[in-house]
Amino acid sequence: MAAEELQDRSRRETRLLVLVVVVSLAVLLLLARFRFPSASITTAVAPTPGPLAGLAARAAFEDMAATIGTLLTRVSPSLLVVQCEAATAADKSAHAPARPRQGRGAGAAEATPPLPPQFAVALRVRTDLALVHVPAGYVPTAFAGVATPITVVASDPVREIALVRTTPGGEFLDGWPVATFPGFGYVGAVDAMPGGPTIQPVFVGRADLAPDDHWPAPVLTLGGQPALGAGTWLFSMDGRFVGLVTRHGDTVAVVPREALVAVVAELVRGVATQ
Amino acid sequence: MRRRELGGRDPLDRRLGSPPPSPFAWLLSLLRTRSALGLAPSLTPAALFLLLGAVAGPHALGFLSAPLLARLDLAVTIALAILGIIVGIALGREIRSAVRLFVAASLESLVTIVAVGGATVYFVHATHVPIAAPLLVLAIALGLSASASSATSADPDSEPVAAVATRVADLDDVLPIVVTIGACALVPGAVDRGLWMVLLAPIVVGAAVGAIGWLLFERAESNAERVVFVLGALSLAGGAASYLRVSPLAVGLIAGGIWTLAPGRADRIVQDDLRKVQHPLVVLLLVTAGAMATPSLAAVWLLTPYLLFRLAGKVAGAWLSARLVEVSAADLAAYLMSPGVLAVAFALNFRQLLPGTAGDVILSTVAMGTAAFELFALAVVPHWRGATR
Repeated sequence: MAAEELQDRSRRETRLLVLVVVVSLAVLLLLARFRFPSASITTAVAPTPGPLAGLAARAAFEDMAATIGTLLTRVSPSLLVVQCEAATAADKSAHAPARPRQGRGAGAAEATPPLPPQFAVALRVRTDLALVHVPAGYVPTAFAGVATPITVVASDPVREIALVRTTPGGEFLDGWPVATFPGFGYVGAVDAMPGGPTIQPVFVGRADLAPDDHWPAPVLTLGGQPALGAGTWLFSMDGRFVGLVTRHGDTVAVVPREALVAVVAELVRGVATQ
Repeated sequence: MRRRELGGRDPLDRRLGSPPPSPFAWLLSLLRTRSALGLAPSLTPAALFLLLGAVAGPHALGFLSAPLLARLDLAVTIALAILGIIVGIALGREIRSAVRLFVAASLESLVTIVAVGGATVYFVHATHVPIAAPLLVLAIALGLSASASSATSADPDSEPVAAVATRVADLDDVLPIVVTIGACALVPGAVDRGLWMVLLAPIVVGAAVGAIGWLLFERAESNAERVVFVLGALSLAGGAASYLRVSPLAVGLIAGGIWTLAPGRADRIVQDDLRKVQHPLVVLLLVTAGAMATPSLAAVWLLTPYLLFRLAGKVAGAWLSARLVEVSAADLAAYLMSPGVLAVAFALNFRQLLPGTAGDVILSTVAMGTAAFELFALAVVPHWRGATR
C-alpha cells in the first residue's frame, strides 16, 4: 500500500517536472522569436536628485569634482591610451592617398624636425576594436605602458582616425547611451596622458548641427573658442556619449555617435573586402 | 501555515475542517512565520528590503545617492566575504558526515546553473539583447545567482524533509562559489592581470586569512581583543579580494572552511561574533542591492527566462537529488524556491567585477527575480506542497 502510494507520488512528481520543463521551453522559444528593441529605449534611467538636495548646503566645486571623478570611473573601462609617433617615410607612402590638411604639406613635413610622440585616447567601438584620432603625420605605435606594437586594422588619414585591435573588454560604442547635447552646458572632456586617460569639465556654449563633407552625418559645430582639441572624447555629466572632437575648418566640431558608427562600419567593410 | 504556535493551521485543524482564515489573519500569520519587518531576523524577507532599497535608491527618492552607494562598495565586499565564511563553516561541518547530502546539493545547484545559463545564452543570442560583457560571463552570473537557495520557508523542527531542505540549501552554495573562481578568469581584463593569479588568489588569500585567524582568535586575552582580531580578519578577506578583483565569496569560503576543519574553536568564535552582525549585514546587502538596481529594458527582457528556468532548474535539480537524500522531490523543490540573500550576493559580486552597465543589468535581473521568487515561495509554494500530498 505504502509502496503504491510512493510510486504514485513519484509519478506525479515526474509529471510536474515534465510540465514545468515543457512550459519553460515553450515560452523561451516563443519569446526568442521577438527582437530586442532599438538601443535608444534601452538606456538606463538617470538617477534623480535627492529629495533633500535642495535644502542642503552645496559646495559647487566639490560637487563638480565628485561628478567628474565618477564620470571618469564610469567611462574608463571603454577607453585606452594609444601612443602615436611621427610617421616614417614608409608610413607616409602607405598613406599616400591621404589628402593633406591646411599647412601640412609634404614638403613642410620634410623640412621640419621630427615630431615629438603624442598620446591619444581610443574608444572601444567593437568587442576587439578601438577607434582613435591620429593627427596628421603620426601613426599609432603602441598602447601606453604596453611594449608590444599595436595592430592598426584600418586607418582613414582624411578623417584622421584609425581602428586598432585590442583585447575584448569594457563597454563599446553601440552600448553607450547617447546624449542629445543642446549646448550651453558642461561636458566631460577626456584626453590622454601617458599614465591613462584624464578628464576635465569644459563649458560649451552654442552648438549647432552643420554638414561636414568628411562625415556621413551632420556634426555639432561649437561656438566661441572652446578649450577642446581634436581627438578629445566628450561625455555628458551623467555618463552619456556626446561625441569625438574633430577639426572643422578653422574651428572644432563634435562628431556624434551615428556618424562614428557609420564610419567604423565603412572601415571594417573596407578591411573585409581587401 | 503548519504550526499552531505561529498562528497557523496544523494538521488537526485541516482534519477537523476549520474555516479558512480571513485575508488579514492570513497576512498576519504570513508575516509571523516569515518574520517580516525584522521581528525575528533569523529569516530574511528579501522582497521587502530589496523594494525598500529600490525606493530609497538614486532612481526613486534618492535617499541613497550614487556617491553613497559607491562608498558602500567596500562594505558590500566585506559582507560578501562574511557570507562566504558562513557557507565555508557550513561546508566544514557537513562535509565529514554528510557527503551524500553535499553531492545532492551540488547536483541540484549544477542543474539550475546549466538550465538558467543555457537559456540565457540561447535567449540573448536569439533576441540580440545588447550586453556589454561576454555572453558566457553573463550566463554564468545569472546561473550562479539562480542556483542559490535559502529554504527560509523551512522550519527544521517541523518535519524531516524541512531539515534536509535546510541542509541542502546551506550546501548548494558551495559549488556556485567555486565556479565563481573560474568565472572571474573570464571577466574582461582578467587575462591581463595574469590568469593564474586570478585563479589562485582567492585560494591563497583565503588560506592566509584562515591561517591568521586560526593562529590569533584563540590566543586573544580579552573579548575586545578577540573581536578586533575577527574584524581584522574579515576586513583582510574583503579588502584583499577587492584589491585583487577576485571573488570575496570564494575567499570567505576557503577561510571559513579552514577555521572549521582546523583543530580548535576558531569557527565557533567567528560564528559567535558574526551572529551579532549577520542580520544587519544581510539587510545592508539587500537594501544596497535594491538601491543599486538600475531600471533598464535589458534587465526586464532577461527576467522571463531567468524566472522560468530557475523554476525548471530547481524542480529538475530537486527531482534528481531527492533520490540521494530520500525525500519527496516536490517538497524539496518547494523549500528550495526561495533564493535568499546569496542570489543577490552573487549578482553584487559580478557587478563589482564587470565594467560598465553589464553588472547593473545582472543585478537588476537578479534583484527582481529574487523578489519574485520570495513572493512565489511565500504565497504559492505552500499550496503547491499541499496539492502534491
